[in-house]
Amino acid sequence: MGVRPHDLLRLTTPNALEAVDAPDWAARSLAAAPWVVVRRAGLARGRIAVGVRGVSRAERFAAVVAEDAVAERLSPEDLRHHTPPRAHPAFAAMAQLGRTLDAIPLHWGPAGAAGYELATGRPTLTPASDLDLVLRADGVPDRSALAAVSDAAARAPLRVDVVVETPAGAVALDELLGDPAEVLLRTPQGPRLASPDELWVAAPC
Amino acid sequence: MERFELRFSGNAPLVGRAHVGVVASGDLEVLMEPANETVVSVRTSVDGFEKVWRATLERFFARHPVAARIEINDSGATPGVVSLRLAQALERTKA
Repeated sequence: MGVRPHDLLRLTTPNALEAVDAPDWAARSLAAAPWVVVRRAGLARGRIAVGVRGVSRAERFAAVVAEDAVAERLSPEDLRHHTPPRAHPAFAAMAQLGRTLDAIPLHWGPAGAAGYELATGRPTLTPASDLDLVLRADGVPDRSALAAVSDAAARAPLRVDVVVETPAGAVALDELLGDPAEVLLRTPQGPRLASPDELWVAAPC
Repeated sequence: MERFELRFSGNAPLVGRAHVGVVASGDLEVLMEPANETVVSVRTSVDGFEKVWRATLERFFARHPVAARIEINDSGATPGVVSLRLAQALERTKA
């Protein structure tokens, strides 16, 4: 099974988490909804690096699960087709931004609290929540398309964070559009500063 | 959302100013400018991590004892990302 960062995984059992020091809230959260999010370290030797979400932003816990403990996988691209379980500005903004995003040749979808709520049906977005979106750019994307997404995001009634997933790792859309000499690149090996020229050159094996 | 100010004993003068990073999930914005004493103002969307901030900043100033006024707008960055952005900002003040 291939997994990518931001994918949400439903576990066969809330006890599937492999961690020695899991806080109490993590067990409660998994009992309420046995879903975890794939971390950037991804899959290695049958183990998937995942994160557990709690109620507050301070409640995030990193753990691993066995590949065979996964009952279902939903990617951001899958979740954009899910019907929102309730009205929230993040879902309204997602629908509105969808018109811009569907007009460019890049796959996209929600991550963060919006993605989690769409996957689990569990109220997760708060009045203070941002909307996190993932944009897949396997090849060098058209700059005007990226600028159109950034403009549309800036007009949304809440903060919208767009992360661009490239073959080398992930970069914040706004940083990429700022024509920087270097960008913060999130890779499976951890974050590093990288030249924008490196983003669409496949990493050496 | 939480705000706090942390003070450190830095005395190496900074040459210029810098502004790096973005306020985006898991990232932060760092503004760095010359000052007589080292004060870091942190504004973060994640509550309850002042100790982690102090430890991360202490590591940075142990390596780079600069006299700087630093403003940080954080949106849930990990200590690794914070250290990268601080190093990037310092590098940029020399440009």
